[in-house]
Amino acid sequence: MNRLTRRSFLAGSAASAALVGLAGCGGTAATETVSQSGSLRVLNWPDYIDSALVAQVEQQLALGISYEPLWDDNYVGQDLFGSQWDVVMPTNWLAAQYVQEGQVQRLPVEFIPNHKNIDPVFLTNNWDRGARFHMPWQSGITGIAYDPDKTGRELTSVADLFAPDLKGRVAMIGEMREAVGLVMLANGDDPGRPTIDQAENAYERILEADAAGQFHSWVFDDFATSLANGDVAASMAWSGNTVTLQEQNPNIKFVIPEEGAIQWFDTMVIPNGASNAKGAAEWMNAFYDPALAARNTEFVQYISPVLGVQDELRQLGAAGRSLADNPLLFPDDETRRRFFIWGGLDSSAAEQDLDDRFASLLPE
Amino acid sequence: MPGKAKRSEAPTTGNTVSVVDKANEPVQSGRFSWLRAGTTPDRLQLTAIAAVFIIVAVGVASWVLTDRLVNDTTEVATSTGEVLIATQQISASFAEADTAAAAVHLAGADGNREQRRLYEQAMDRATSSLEDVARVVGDDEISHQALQSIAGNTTDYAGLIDAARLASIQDLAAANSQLSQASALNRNEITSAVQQIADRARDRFDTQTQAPWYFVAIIALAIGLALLIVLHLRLSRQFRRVLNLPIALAAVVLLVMVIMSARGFANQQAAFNDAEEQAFDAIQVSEQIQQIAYRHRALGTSSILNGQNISADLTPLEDVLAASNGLFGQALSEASSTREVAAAEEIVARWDRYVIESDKLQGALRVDNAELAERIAQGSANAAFNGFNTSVEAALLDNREQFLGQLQTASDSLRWLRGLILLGSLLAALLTWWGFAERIGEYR
Repeated sequence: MNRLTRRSFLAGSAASAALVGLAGCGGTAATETVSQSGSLRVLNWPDYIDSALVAQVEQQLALGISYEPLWDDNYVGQDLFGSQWDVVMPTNWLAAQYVQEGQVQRLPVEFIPNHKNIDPVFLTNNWDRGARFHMPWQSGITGIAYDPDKTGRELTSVADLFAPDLKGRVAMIGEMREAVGLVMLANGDDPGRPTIDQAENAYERILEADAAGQFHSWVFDDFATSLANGDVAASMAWSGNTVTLQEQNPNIKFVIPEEGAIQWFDTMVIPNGASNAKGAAEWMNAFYDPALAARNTEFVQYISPVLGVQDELRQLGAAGRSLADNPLLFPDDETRRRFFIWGGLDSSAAEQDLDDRFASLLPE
Repeated sequence: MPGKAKRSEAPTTGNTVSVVDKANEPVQSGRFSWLRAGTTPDRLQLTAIAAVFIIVAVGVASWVLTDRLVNDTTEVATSTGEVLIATQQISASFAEADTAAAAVHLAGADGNREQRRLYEQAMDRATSSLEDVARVVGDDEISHQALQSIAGNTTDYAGLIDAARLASIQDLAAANSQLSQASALNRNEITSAVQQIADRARDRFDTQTQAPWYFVAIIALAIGLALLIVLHLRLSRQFRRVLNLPIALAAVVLLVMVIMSARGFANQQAAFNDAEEQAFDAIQVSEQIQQIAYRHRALGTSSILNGQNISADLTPLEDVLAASNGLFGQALSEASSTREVAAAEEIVARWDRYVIESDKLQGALRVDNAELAERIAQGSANAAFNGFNTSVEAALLDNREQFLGQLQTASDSLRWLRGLILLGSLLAALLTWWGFAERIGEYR
């Protein structure tokens, strides 16, 4: 099975800022009219869908679908907010920017009866309460993965990433909101409602540890390789990639730190210039059918934002049942209460500034 | 020297020059001598003055009424409507804050940071809405006093919630009491003060949107138009000319004014009707749904604190919402588009999910399994309620935007009317004078 490489990116967050800037020039406020001309153009992360499902939905909707697995949050390709794409899938923090800047359309929910199947945890974001402008695609957890043979002990806390006995053997994920958010939790702060001071404190802690040689490397989805090769003993890690890694190396453990973990999600939005918003809505509706969503979960192995997927997975044979019982895909209520979705700083300029400084920590 | 024309005779051709026999004119003196004008030009002049005076008077009257209409409409769009929306937001935010605070309390000190965040966000929204009301409510002293009262009670409320959270570590009974006091403060003091502001805004809304008196302006303009038509006909007959261009133009100007003011008024009233029927009624139904749901949730939370099954108390509330003639049915019937129908259907679906979890919770209490009840309340019931609440909130946001948008449409429909009436009246008066002056000039 083709495994996902959701985050094989990071060309630099300045590019992301440039994208937002460009988008700001071309967009208009959310529109009530629903365009419906031409084929449907979908832009998603690489390896983030079972391609058989694209063909199935194409047939089901009787609609030509052009599906491009080229997205990342620094996408600076062709005209995103013109008329080139009908559905794009930024990460939650970037989607929040798009919504706040009026770059994306209000969802035509009259074509999305399955909108009611959005897991409520994704409905309480302050930037789009009730998800009027976005529909989550997949969600994951940023926690800690480690090899107990290498650490020589169990890891339970974010503080373990800063422990002297692991100096030089820890990999950190180079995504500011996840790294800073996780360390905010260790500081006793709430990344779901971050203040600039709290975020700066967390950044300083990372900066000091980095300068002191605590971290072996900055990673993205290659954290799995680093762990598998034994380059590092522990790493900030994404749950979905860890599920895949554990299939090859059952010794690897993933822990939700006692302070909590960062939950992120990639989410479907309809750019203002979309020429087939109706098709985009029907696509969203199709993937919010629990049966179809379960099949995609079986492929991507991340947390599905669609209610009813767990029950559907149980009907997909032994592999599906195994996934349905996997706590990384279906965490219990107690665990879920320890997940925090980055809430965004009050000042987008301050967040961009922090993002830029964080990016400077990463190797070119 | 050409022969004298008789003064009472009209010129026979357009080129004939009227010559006034000043010697035969009666001597006119005194303050009211113009009233005794005897010559045709004098009579024409007198008629012209009277016509211009009437047109100016009609214009002034119409302008005054239009000015009042525009001011009222602008105030509805920029003040009264926003106050109505913001007061509803305050009520909803406090109710949500109360619900979230109870959930936080249930989880123990800082035991549910998501609910804590929801509580803080709801309080932020309430505070922001209070600021909105203060900004747009104008000089209504009673509303300002109510705002001051709410501000003070908000501080007390937040203090009690925080005290309850801290007390819950050591003294659960005291914490329960403080939470109850906070809820009572919200239900009694804050809610009634918010309602007072909302009621006053509603009264202003009704007064400012209902303007039957504006027909007077339209009728006045129509009278002016009729006058000009009559004058034109009379002059045509008297001077044997089909057209007096300036007066005809003046009549056209007044006709345009009649049409534009009638059309503007009709559009304004239609926009107000749409705002009320398509958006405000839906807002009110959604708000009632939200209040009933918050009450349901608050009772559910109390039942856990008291360890008692209260299904019998919850069922009537569920009936108010879900019965065939209940609020959900009203919400669906108020929906004015397929999008609103979809939003209403989602609200119903999410409420059904919440009720299933609530039933499980009460079932656990029925068999004295408080631990399970608490777990459900903190987990699936909490999630289901948040899903329901945010779906109502999303529908409310849409309806609020629609409402304010339609009020703005009402305001826009009158955008040029005041200026049009002013300039049109002056133009019509000048043209009328010009039309008479031409004929008087022909005599002289």
